[in-house]
Amino acid sequence: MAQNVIINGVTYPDVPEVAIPKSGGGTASFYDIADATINANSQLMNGVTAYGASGVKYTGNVTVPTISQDSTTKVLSIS
Amino acid sequence: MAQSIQIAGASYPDVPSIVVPKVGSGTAVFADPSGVTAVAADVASGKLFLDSSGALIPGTASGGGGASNVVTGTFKGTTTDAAMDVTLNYSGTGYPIAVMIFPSATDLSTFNDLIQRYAIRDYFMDKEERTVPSYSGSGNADSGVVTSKYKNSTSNATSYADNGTSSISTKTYNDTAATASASLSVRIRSATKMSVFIASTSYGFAANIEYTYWVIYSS
Repeated sequence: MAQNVIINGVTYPDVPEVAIPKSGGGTASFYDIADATINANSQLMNGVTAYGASGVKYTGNVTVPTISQDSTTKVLSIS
Repeated sequence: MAQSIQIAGASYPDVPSIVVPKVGSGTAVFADPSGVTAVAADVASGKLFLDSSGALIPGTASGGGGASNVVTGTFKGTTTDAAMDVTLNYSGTGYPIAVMIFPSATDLSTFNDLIQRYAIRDYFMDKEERTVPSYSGSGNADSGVVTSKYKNSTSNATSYADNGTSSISTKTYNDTAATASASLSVRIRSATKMSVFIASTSYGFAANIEYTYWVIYSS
Protein backbone atom coordinates (compact mmCIF):
# COMPACT_ATOMS: atom_id res chain seq x y z
CA MET A 1 0.00 0.00 0.00
CA ALA A 2 3.01 2.23 -0.48
CA GLN A 3 5.63 2.62 -3.14
CA ASN A 4 9.22 3.69 -3.29
CA VAL A 5 9.19 6.31 -6.00
CA ILE A 6 11.55 8.76 -7.65
CA ILE A 7 10.46 12.29 -8.47
CA ASN A 8 12.91 14.71 -10.00
CA GLY A 9 15.71 12.40 -9.08
CA VAL A 10 14.78 12.29 -5.43
CA THR A 11 13.83 8.99 -3.84
CA TYR A 12 10.78 8.86 -1.64
CA PRO A 13 10.28 5.57 0.21
CA ASP A 14 6.97 4.11 1.26
CA VAL A 15 4.72 6.61 -0.45
CA PRO A 16 1.06 5.65 -0.02
CA GLU A 17 -0.39 8.82 -1.43
CA VAL A 18 0.56 11.72 -3.67
CA ALA A 19 -1.03 15.12 -3.20
CA ILE A 20 -0.90 17.50 -6.14
CA PRO A 21 -2.18 21.07 -6.35
CA LYS A 22 -5.46 21.40 -8.17
CA SER A 23 -6.00 24.00 -10.83
CA GLY A 24 -8.67 25.76 -8.87
CA GLY A 25 -7.05 25.56 -5.47
CA GLY A 26 -6.67 22.85 -2.93
CA THR A 27 -5.00 19.54 -3.54
CA ALA A 28 -5.94 16.30 -5.20
CA SER A 29 -4.92 13.07 -3.53
CA PHE A 30 -3.89 10.07 -5.58
CA TYR A 31 -3.50 6.75 -3.80
CA ASP A 32 -1.38 3.73 -4.49
CA ILE A 33 -3.75 1.04 -5.73
CA ALA A 34 -1.30 -1.78 -6.21
CA ASP A 35 -2.96 -3.90 -3.56
CA ALA A 36 -6.44 -3.69 -5.01
CA THR A 37 -7.55 -7.13 -6.22
CA ILE A 38 -10.67 -6.20 -8.11
CA ASN A 39 -10.29 -7.28 -11.70
CA ALA A 40 -13.79 -7.67 -13.13
CA ASN A 41 -17.09 -5.85 -13.29
CA SER A 42 -18.72 -8.97 -11.95
CA GLN A 43 -17.06 -8.42 -8.59
CA LEU A 44 -19.06 -5.28 -7.94
CA MET A 45 -22.72 -4.66 -7.41
CA ASN A 46 -24.48 -3.09 -10.31
CA GLY A 47 -23.64 0.55 -10.89
CA VAL A 48 -20.90 1.09 -8.36
CA THR A 49 -17.31 1.80 -9.33
CA ALA A 50 -13.87 0.97 -8.04
CA TYR A 51 -10.31 0.73 -9.33
CA GLY A 52 -8.29 -2.35 -10.04
CA ALA A 53 -4.58 -2.53 -9.29
CA SER A 54 -3.59 -1.35 -12.74
CA GLY A 55 -5.74 1.74 -12.53
CA VAL A 56 -8.58 0.30 -14.54
CA LYS A 57 -11.90 1.57 -13.34
CA TYR A 58 -14.56 -1.10 -13.03
CA THR A 59 -18.29 -0.58 -13.00
CA GLY A 60 -20.22 -3.32 -11.31
CA ASN A 61 -22.83 -5.41 -13.09
CA VAL A 62 -23.96 -7.80 -10.38
CA THR A 63 -27.65 -7.81 -9.71
CA VAL A 64 -29.81 -9.63 -7.21
CA PRO A 65 -32.90 -11.48 -8.35
CA THR A 66 -36.19 -10.08 -7.25
CA ILE A 67 -38.30 -12.57 -5.36
CA SER A 68 -41.92 -12.20 -4.50
CA GLN A 69 -44.57 -14.53 -3.22
CA ASP A 70 -48.31 -14.34 -3.50
CA SER A 71 -49.67 -14.70 -0.02
CA THR A 72 -52.79 -16.48 -1.23
CA THR A 73 -51.61 -18.79 -3.98
CA LYS A 74 -48.17 -19.29 -2.49
CA VAL A 75 -46.70 -18.87 -5.91
CA LEU A 76 -43.26 -17.49 -5.62
CA SER A 77 -41.84 -15.70 -8.61
CA ILE A 78 -38.26 -14.97 -9.35
CA SER A 79 -37.10 -12.49 -11.91
CA MET B 1 -13.17 10.55 -10.92
CA ALA B 2 -10.48 12.80 -12.25
CA GLN B 3 -8.82 15.95 -11.04
CA SER B 4 -7.52 19.01 -12.79
CA ILE B 5 -4.06 19.47 -11.38
CA GLN B 6 -1.00 21.62 -11.76
CA ILE B 7 2.53 20.31 -11.94
CA ALA B 8 5.47 22.63 -12.38
CA GLY B 9 3.19 25.42 -13.50
CA ALA B 10 1.44 23.38 -16.15
CA SER B 11 -2.23 22.48 -15.88
CA TYR B 12 -3.45 18.97 -16.57
CA PRO B 13 -7.21 18.63 -16.71
CA ASP B 14 -9.17 15.53 -15.83
CA VAL B 15 -6.38 13.38 -14.50
CA PRO B 16 -7.76 10.10 -13.10
CA SER B 17 -4.38 8.73 -12.06
CA ILE B 18 -0.72 9.48 -12.11
CA VAL B 19 2.17 7.19 -12.87
CA VAL B 20 5.40 7.68 -11.00
CA PRO B 21 8.71 5.87 -11.54
CA LYS B 22 9.53 3.38 -8.83
CA VAL B 23 12.89 2.95 -7.25
CA GLY B 24 14.61 0.19 -9.11
CA SER B 25 12.35 -0.14 -12.09
CA GLY B 26 8.78 0.01 -13.17
CA THR B 27 6.11 2.51 -12.32
CA ALA B 28 3.58 2.99 -9.58
CA VAL B 29 0.02 3.99 -10.31
CA PHE B 30 -1.66 6.41 -7.95
CA ALA B 31 -5.36 6.86 -8.59
CA ASP B 32 -7.87 9.45 -7.51
CA PRO B 33 -10.48 7.42 -5.62
CA SER B 34 -12.81 10.31 -4.84
CA GLY B 35 -15.28 9.09 -7.43
CA VAL B 36 -15.33 5.52 -6.21
CA THR B 37 -18.87 4.63 -5.23
CA ALA B 38 -18.36 1.08 -4.05
CA VAL B 39 -18.52 0.27 -0.38
CA ALA B 40 -17.56 -3.01 1.22
CA ALA B 41 -21.03 -4.46 0.81
CA ASP B 42 -20.87 -3.80 -2.94
CA VAL B 43 -17.65 -5.71 -3.54
CA ALA B 44 -17.24 -9.44 -3.75
CA SER B 45 -16.04 -11.04 -0.58
CA GLY B 46 -12.29 -11.51 -0.60
CA LYS B 47 -11.59 -8.73 -3.07
CA LEU B 48 -9.73 -5.61 -2.04
CA PHE B 49 -10.52 -2.14 -3.25
CA LEU B 50 -9.90 1.47 -2.41
CA ASP B 51 -12.94 3.26 -1.14
CA SER B 52 -13.56 6.90 -1.88
CA SER B 53 -11.31 7.95 0.98
CA GLY B 54 -8.39 5.98 -0.35
CA ALA B 55 -8.57 3.28 2.28
CA LEU B 56 -7.88 -0.26 1.12
CA ILE B 57 -10.68 -2.43 2.45
CA PRO B 58 -12.00 -5.91 1.69
CA GLY B 59 -15.31 -6.55 0.01
CA THR B 60 -18.01 -8.34 1.93
CA ALA B 61 -20.67 -9.02 -0.68
CA SER B 62 -21.88 -12.51 -1.32
CA GLY B 63 -24.77 -13.62 -3.39
CA GLY B 64 -26.29 -11.63 -6.17
CA GLY B 65 -26.24 -12.67 -9.77
CA GLY B 66 -24.45 -11.49 -12.83
CA ALA B 67 -26.24 -8.95 -14.91
CA SER B 68 -26.12 -11.31 -17.86
CA ASN B 69 -27.83 -14.03 -15.89
CA VAL B 70 -31.56 -14.38 -16.03
CA VAL B 71 -33.49 -16.55 -13.68
CA THR B 72 -37.19 -16.95 -14.10
CA GLY B 73 -39.58 -19.42 -12.69
CA THR B 74 -42.25 -20.10 -10.20
CA PHE B 75 -42.48 -21.81 -6.93
CA LYS B 76 -45.79 -23.26 -5.99
CA GLY B 77 -47.11 -25.08 -3.05
CA THR B 78 -49.57 -24.86 -0.24
CA THR B 79 -49.24 -25.41 3.41
CA THR B 80 -50.99 -28.75 3.14
CA ASP B 81 -49.09 -30.17 0.19
CA ALA B 82 -46.91 -33.15 0.80
CA ALA B 83 -44.24 -31.56 -1.30
CA MET B 84 -43.53 -28.52 -3.35
CA ASP B 85 -42.50 -28.36 -6.96
CA VAL B 86 -40.17 -25.76 -8.24
CA THR B 87 -39.11 -25.24 -11.80
CA LEU B 88 -36.59 -22.67 -12.80
CA ASN B 89 -35.25 -21.73 -16.16
CA TYR B 90 -31.94 -20.07 -16.40
CA SER B 91 -30.08 -18.44 -19.21
CA GLY B 92 -26.72 -16.85 -19.00
CA THR B 93 -23.30 -17.74 -17.84
CA GLY B 94 -21.56 -17.95 -14.57
CA TYR B 95 -22.80 -19.41 -11.36
CA PRO B 96 -26.49 -18.96 -11.51
CA ILE B 97 -28.39 -20.55 -8.80
CA ALA B 98 -28.33 -21.61 -5.26
CA VAL B 99 -31.40 -22.74 -3.47
CA MET B 100 -32.51 -22.54 0.08
CA ILE B 101 -35.69 -23.30 1.86
CA PHE B 102 -36.18 -21.67 5.18
CA PRO B 103 -39.32 -22.89 6.87
CA SER B 104 -39.57 -20.07 9.32
CA ALA B 105 -37.11 -17.52 8.16
CA THR B 106 -38.22 -14.02 8.83
CA ASP B 107 -35.78 -12.22 6.63
CA LEU B 108 -34.45 -13.14 3.22
CA SER B 109 -31.05 -11.95 4.26
CA THR B 110 -30.98 -13.97 7.45
CA PHE B 111 -29.92 -17.55 7.14
CA ASN B 112 -29.58 -18.47 10.75
CA ASP B 113 -32.98 -18.15 12.26
CA LEU B 114 -34.42 -21.50 11.36
CA ILE B 115 -36.44 -23.03 14.11
CA GLN B 116 -38.00 -25.77 12.04
CA ARG B 117 -36.73 -29.03 10.76
CA TYR B 118 -36.40 -29.35 7.09
CA ALA B 119 -35.96 -31.91 4.42
CA ILE B 120 -34.28 -31.81 1.12
CA ARG B 121 -36.06 -34.05 -1.22
CA ASP B 122 -34.05 -33.78 -4.35
CA TYR B 123 -32.68 -31.51 -6.93
CA PHE B 124 -31.27 -32.10 -10.34
CA MET B 125 -30.23 -30.31 -13.46
CA ASP B 126 -30.28 -31.14 -17.12
CA LYS B 127 -26.81 -29.85 -17.67
CA GLU B 128 -25.12 -29.88 -14.44
CA GLU B 129 -21.76 -29.07 -13.16
CA ARG B 130 -22.27 -28.78 -9.54
CA THR B 131 -19.97 -27.18 -7.16
CA VAL B 132 -19.89 -28.43 -3.65
CA PRO B 133 -23.17 -27.72 -1.95
CA SER B 134 -22.65 -26.84 1.62
CA TYR B 135 -24.71 -27.41 4.64
CA SER B 136 -24.22 -26.31 8.16
CA GLY B 137 -26.40 -26.38 11.14
CA SER B 138 -26.73 -27.09 14.78
CA GLY B 139 -29.00 -29.35 16.71
CA ASN B 140 -29.33 -31.45 13.60
CA ALA B 141 -28.27 -35.00 13.04
CA ASP B 142 -26.29 -34.00 9.98
CA SER B 143 -23.66 -31.43 9.42
CA GLY B 144 -20.79 -30.73 7.13
CA VAL B 145 -20.65 -30.74 3.38
CA VAL B 146 -22.97 -32.44 0.96
CA THR B 147 -21.53 -33.01 -2.47
CA SER B 148 -24.02 -33.43 -5.26
CA LYS B 149 -26.02 -35.87 -3.25
CA TYR B 150 -29.28 -36.06 -1.54
CA LYS B 151 -30.51 -37.72 1.53
CA ASN B 152 -32.45 -40.80 0.68
CA SER B 153 -33.77 -42.23 3.85
CA THR B 154 -37.38 -42.00 4.87
CA SER B 155 -36.48 -41.21 8.41
CA ASN B 156 -33.49 -40.19 10.39
CA ALA B 157 -31.12 -40.41 7.49
CA THR B 158 -27.51 -40.31 8.44
CA SER B 159 -25.93 -40.86 5.06
CA TYR B 160 -26.31 -39.67 1.52
CA ALA B 161 -26.88 -41.51 -1.69
CA ASP B 162 -25.41 -40.18 -4.88
CA ASN B 163 -28.01 -38.95 -7.30
CA GLY B 164 -26.27 -39.21 -10.60
CA THR B 165 -29.31 -39.14 -12.82
CA SER B 166 -31.09 -36.29 -14.45
CA SER B 167 -34.50 -37.17 -13.23
CA ILE B 168 -36.42 -36.37 -10.17
CA SER B 169 -35.99 -38.86 -7.44
CA THR B 170 -38.95 -39.72 -5.33
CA LYS B 171 -36.86 -40.61 -2.39
CA THR B 172 -37.36 -38.49 0.60
CA TYR B 173 -35.56 -37.45 3.63
CA ASN B 174 -37.12 -36.87 6.96
CA ASP B 175 -35.06 -35.26 9.57
CA THR B 176 -36.66 -35.78 12.92
CA ALA B 177 -33.85 -34.29 14.89
CA ALA B 178 -34.56 -31.01 16.55
CA THR B 179 -32.92 -28.13 14.81
CA ALA B 180 -32.35 -24.84 16.49
CA SER B 181 -30.61 -23.23 13.60
CA ALA B 182 -29.41 -24.38 10.26
CA SER B 183 -28.65 -23.18 6.83
CA LEU B 184 -28.35 -24.87 3.52
CA SER B 185 -26.61 -23.61 0.46
CA VAL B 186 -26.38 -25.28 -2.90
CA ARG B 187 -24.41 -23.68 -5.66
CA ILE B 188 -24.79 -24.90 -9.20
CA ARG B 189 -22.70 -23.88 -12.17
CA SER B 190 -23.62 -22.94 -15.69
CA ALA B 191 -27.08 -24.33 -15.74
CA THR B 192 -29.28 -23.96 -18.77
CA LYS B 193 -32.21 -25.46 -16.99
CA MET B 194 -32.78 -26.55 -13.53
CA SER B 195 -35.59 -28.12 -11.62
CA VAL B 196 -35.67 -28.20 -7.92
CA PHE B 197 -37.78 -30.19 -5.60
CA ILE B 198 -37.40 -29.18 -2.05
CA ALA B 199 -39.70 -29.53 0.87
CA SER B 200 -39.59 -28.53 4.44
CA THR B 201 -41.57 -29.98 7.25
CA SER B 202 -42.30 -29.38 10.84
CA TYR B 203 -43.08 -32.94 11.93
CA GLY B 204 -41.67 -35.20 9.32
CA PHE B 205 -42.05 -35.28 5.64
CA ALA B 206 -45.65 -36.35 5.51
CA ALA B 207 -46.78 -33.57 7.75
CA ASN B 208 -47.85 -30.18 6.67
CA ILE B 209 -45.24 -28.28 4.85
CA GLU B 210 -44.28 -24.95 6.08
CA TYR B 211 -42.24 -22.61 4.06
CA THR B 212 -41.62 -18.98 3.92
CA TYR B 213 -38.98 -18.00 1.45
CA TRP B 214 -36.99 -19.07 -1.45
CA VAL B 215 -33.57 -17.53 -1.73
CA ILE B 216 -31.65 -17.59 -4.93
CA TYR B 217 -28.27 -16.15 -5.41
CA SER B 218 -25.23 -16.58 -7.48
CA SER B 219 -21.65 -15.58 -7.14
